Amino acid sequence: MLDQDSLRRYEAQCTQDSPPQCRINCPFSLDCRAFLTNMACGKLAAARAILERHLPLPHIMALICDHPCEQACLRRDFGGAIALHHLEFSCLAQTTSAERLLPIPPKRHKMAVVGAGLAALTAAWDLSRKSYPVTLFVDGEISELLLCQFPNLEEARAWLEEDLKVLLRKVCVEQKTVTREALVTLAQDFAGVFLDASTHPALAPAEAAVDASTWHWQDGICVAGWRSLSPTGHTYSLPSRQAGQGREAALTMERVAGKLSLTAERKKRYGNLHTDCTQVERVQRLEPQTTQWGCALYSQEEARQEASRCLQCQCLICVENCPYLQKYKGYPKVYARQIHNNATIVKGLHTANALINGCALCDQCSRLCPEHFSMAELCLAAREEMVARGQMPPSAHEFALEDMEQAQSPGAFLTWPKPKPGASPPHWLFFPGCQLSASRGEQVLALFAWLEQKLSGSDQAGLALCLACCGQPAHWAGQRKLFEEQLARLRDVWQEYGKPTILTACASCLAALREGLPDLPVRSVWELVDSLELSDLPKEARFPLPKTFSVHDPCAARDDKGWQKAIRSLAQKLGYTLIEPKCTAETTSCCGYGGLVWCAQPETANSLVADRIAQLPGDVLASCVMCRDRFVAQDKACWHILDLLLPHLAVAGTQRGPGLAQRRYQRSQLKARILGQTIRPEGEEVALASDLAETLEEQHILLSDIITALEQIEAKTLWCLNKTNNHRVGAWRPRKVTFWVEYSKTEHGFLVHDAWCHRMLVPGAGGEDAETVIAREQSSSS
Amino acid sequence: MGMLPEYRPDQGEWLCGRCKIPLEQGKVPVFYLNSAFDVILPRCPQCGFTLVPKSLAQGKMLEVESLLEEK
Amino acid sequence: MKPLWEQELFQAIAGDSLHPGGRAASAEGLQWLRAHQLLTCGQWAVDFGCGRGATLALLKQYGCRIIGLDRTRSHACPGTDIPLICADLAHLPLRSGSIDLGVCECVLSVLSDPLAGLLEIARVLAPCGACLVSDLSGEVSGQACAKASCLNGAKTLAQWQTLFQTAGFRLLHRQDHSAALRKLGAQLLWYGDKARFDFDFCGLLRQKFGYQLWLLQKE
Repeated sequence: MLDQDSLRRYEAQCTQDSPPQCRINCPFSLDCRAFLTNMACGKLAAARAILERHLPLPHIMALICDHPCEQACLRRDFGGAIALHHLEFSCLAQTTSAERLLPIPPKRHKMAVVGAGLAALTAAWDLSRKSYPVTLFVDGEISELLLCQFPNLEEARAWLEEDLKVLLRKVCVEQKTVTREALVTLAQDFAGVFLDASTHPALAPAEAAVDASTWHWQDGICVAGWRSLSPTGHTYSLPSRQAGQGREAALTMERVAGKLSLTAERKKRYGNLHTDCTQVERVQRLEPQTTQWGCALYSQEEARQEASRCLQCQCLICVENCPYLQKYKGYPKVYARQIHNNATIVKGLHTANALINGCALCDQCSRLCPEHFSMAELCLAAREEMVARGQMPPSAHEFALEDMEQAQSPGAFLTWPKPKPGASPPHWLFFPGCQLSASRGEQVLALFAWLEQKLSGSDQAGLALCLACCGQPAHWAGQRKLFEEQLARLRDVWQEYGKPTILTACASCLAALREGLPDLPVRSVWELVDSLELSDLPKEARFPLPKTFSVHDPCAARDDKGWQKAIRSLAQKLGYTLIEPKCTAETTSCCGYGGLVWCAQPETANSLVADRIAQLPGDVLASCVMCRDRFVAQDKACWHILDLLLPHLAVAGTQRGPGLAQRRYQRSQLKARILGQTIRPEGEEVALASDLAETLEEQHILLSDIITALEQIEAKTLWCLNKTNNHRVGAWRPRKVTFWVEYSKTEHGFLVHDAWCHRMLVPGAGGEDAETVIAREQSSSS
Repeated sequence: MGMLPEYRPDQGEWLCGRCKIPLEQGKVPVFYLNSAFDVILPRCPQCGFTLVPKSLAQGKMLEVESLLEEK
Repeated sequence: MKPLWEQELFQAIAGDSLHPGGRAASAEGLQWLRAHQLLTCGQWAVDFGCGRGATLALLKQYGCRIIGLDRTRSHACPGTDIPLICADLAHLPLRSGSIDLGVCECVLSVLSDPLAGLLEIARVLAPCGACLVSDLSGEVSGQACAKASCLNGAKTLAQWQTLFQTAGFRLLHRQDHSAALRKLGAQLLWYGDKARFDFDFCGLLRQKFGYQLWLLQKE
């Protein structure tokens, strides 16, 4: 799945790595952002080091550069471009060089540079720093030749000499008048030759005759550094242009010498770095008060002020809105690479597992991103690959998958009323979803009854009910095959009923059915309700409801305009006022239930819900019961749309939702209630000591686990007895976890005092014979 | 290895439910994800029933489990 | 506190090899070299930081002429007849270009200047000589787990690669033995008292660290 090509496609979508405009426009690719960061906090030495690393002849460039960076600065429209040129000059003026060049052994290719223009000196500078032996052929004094083109350097002669001194430490100078014949000889004697067009106009070809991407002219000779012609016909020297050409030409000379392609992989291509400027406030550019050698000189304080105006252009729009993306301190491009590496390791440490399983798959990022980078798509594909290779840790999604299994089990799965042969098929199939059935059974039944009565007699009459799971947990867990099995089962139900329109009350079900069974007619129940006359809905509320809510759209319905509109319309018709949060509708944030993060990484899920709560003032109106329960679990008052529709059955916005074990129980109870049966409440014979329920929930131990364990422990005598208090402690290992139960027998059954579990396999604990386990495990591990 | 961790019952005096004889401290290997660890735990000398005290399950075992899992 | 590898418990768990993965990891690296004809019979092989000589024993089986090198004689190759040199990695008493194969397992991370060590190894290796290096990978942020730890010498993959390149090595192949590090960490945690080790368990838990084996060639 994640091969090199798709990795590149993903990487190209995220532009956070792309250089900002200033850097793109600088022929030396100066890291202006980092330079300004250092200047803004007064770290002049560090700022200087950046200039020295990127710029050829840094003093000369600081004096005369025509700063194309400033033309592209995004601050331009908000008080004027950052004064990069002034800041560079001020930085060099207030520091001394601390650059230490590490001695590198000389390379074997000798290079010749002809001329003393800015292009020639740049080429000589770059090549000598890379340890090529460089001979500079000039016809006169270098500084004088340079001054001819840049007379304003005269005042700052000290700086001019300083750069030349550094240059000449590594470059041999030969006085020579180079003729056309001499140039041919040089091309034979040296691995590469550079000719400066500004000091040797007679020898150089016309600029248009040379390839502007390489500046290679002929036979290993590069030419560059032409003077520019003004519209009025004057020639002048443009420093950034000449020096930039010199740098490119030097790269070509290296490739000529190394017999490499002159063009391949030369320039890295970047997407445009997106920067959101909507919140930028205007701050006026600070013009310095003093000058030196005709150049503007900032005081240290002024420099700090001016540099801090830098917007530090970056994208990060997805990261800023998602605690999960913030958690790993990177951004999607980095994550894509980590996930790719994770997939390519055959064995060993899969460090990106946490990254892959921590995503809520809510896809907010792709809606915020100007390039639509989708972490959800990436992480889901990675999960499916992990599952396919058997690398998904079994514990990651265990609880969620077990929950799904229960919802599909005979104890909870129901289609009702059974289709009758010969009777006209129902128009609708109501599919409330396994979580709503588990926590709001009473409301589900009431809504079903209301709809049935409302639709009877119309041309859309006939309503059946299906209590089942849509398979979304399997999908999220990367268990594609399991997901498809669930869907196939639903398709059978749909066909059995004569292909009705499926009505879902859960956004995740809706998304799962639309993705997995695209040919089935599916819509949200809220849209149908919104199209009906509401006046006969019960008015009397069980609790006083607030009048105003912050509306929270479930992330699975971010693309479902019909869903969003129906919820708003219903609330309005029923007389409530809604507040739209910052991220809403298409860009809504996830509550942490999505993608099974709550199961794989509860902490990440908690930071997601906390972040979302902070965006929602007052009481919240949710249209997904898992969002609702997760908000309330964090003490945020939240109501479900059903509480507004059926206020006589409302659940208080502060009442916590049921835990895992209770959900399972209530699912079965709902089925039994519909079938007119009563089931014996599971907890009757097994009582829990006070406070134990919460401890169990924390450890993800289900009541049903305890009940099964107790049955087995008692049946097989897998317990020992504490003589001091007559408690029995026993163990049962139904799967890759051993449950321990400490209990005592009561008149009616058992009283559970404590329970704990571990995943390690302990011989003699959990049912299997100790010696058998030891023999098997020792032979398999060696 | 001379440094075997040893865990006694968190409290009380214990009898094996099946064999009706007292549990004794004994060495047993435990397994997880291709690693094996030795530990001294209360065991039934006859049938091998082994008690894992809550303190071990929620302490060292949990730590080692999460260290070995690539979750 | 003694360094981790000099503690009795660590030695008992890690075995003769005194590094994660033990003999099996070393053998996997050497097999790769052999499959690529970089480890052949009769070569001069030196284990820089040989400890108890577990890897040297493997090299001997492959028919190499072996030399062990360690900083202290006290715990190096006890009870064997392996020729042993007592020296610091930064100043090897060996002729330039005189060695065919080098091994340096989990040593660089405990040196204050790993580059100096690598440069010395590069010096004594013959041109195109191979070197097996294994060490801890991961990001050491300083403040993560304030406790001093031998894991503090870990470097990111990129940092290691830069080091190798700077010292004049070409990276041929990398094997990830991180699972072995976790296994070792789990053993230490199980048998030891957490507080008594200078070992960053919480870093290991957060998957910050790995254990890598590189096969390098002198350029």
